[in-house]
Amino acid sequence: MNRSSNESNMMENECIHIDSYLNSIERVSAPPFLFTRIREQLANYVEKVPGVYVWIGGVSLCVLLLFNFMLVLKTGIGRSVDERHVFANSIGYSSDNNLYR
Amino acid sequence: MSLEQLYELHKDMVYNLSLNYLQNHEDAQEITQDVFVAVFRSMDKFRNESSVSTWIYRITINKCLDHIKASKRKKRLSFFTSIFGGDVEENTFRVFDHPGVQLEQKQAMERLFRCINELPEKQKTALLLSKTENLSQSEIAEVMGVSVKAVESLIQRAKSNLSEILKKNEG
Repeated sequence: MNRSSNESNMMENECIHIDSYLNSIERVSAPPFLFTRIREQLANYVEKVPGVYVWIGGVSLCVLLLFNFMLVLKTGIGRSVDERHVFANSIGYSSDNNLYR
Repeated sequence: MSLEQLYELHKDMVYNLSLNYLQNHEDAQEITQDVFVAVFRSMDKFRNESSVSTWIYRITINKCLDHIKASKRKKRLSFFTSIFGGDVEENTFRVFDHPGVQLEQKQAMERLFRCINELPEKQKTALLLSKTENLSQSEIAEVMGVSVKAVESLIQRAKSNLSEILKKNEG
């Protein structure tokens, strides 16, 4: 019982000590040049694009790229070349690009 | 109220709170500048639900917390940079430089603030607003957006944690 009351007394003393230290801090004035700097910063302020919009833009671009990729895979570039060959042969043209063999 | 009037009324409040929060006058200047730029740019968003000074206090605390987080990130980065032999930025490690502290108390204050900096964010904020800004518990509650009871317990816990940290650091 005595020990715990001693401890609480010590803590109280320490708190008073802390309070007196913190109260002894003097208030200082802000440097006079700050307002000029703030004015300059305000004049040169460039509106930043909010992070959410950047994310939305990035995700939309990724979706668009993925969609394009899927479309290319689905339609198939090679198959369309084959179809051209078949069409050219059916009307009697050569589908070969080489002029001389 | 013009911007200049608003600045004149609140500049010392912002500067002193930043000083007590960061204990470095260059950082405090940077924060004061950022706070007023933010205030001037978002004046139209200010709703008269709280007083202007409460609103500015809130912005200052948020800016200080962001600054602390950014400097912790910088420290971590500079640690890795130094491991890989890169150049560490000069202003990564700020020293205790508080113009409001008397010279004969500087060492003791530096030790006290080092312990205060170990407190959780909310406890540190409540303690500083109460002891250095001399705000009442209801004013602190308004600034921090919590109840008066919560402020009371935050200050109590801050004090007991602080004396424990001080004891631990002494031993």
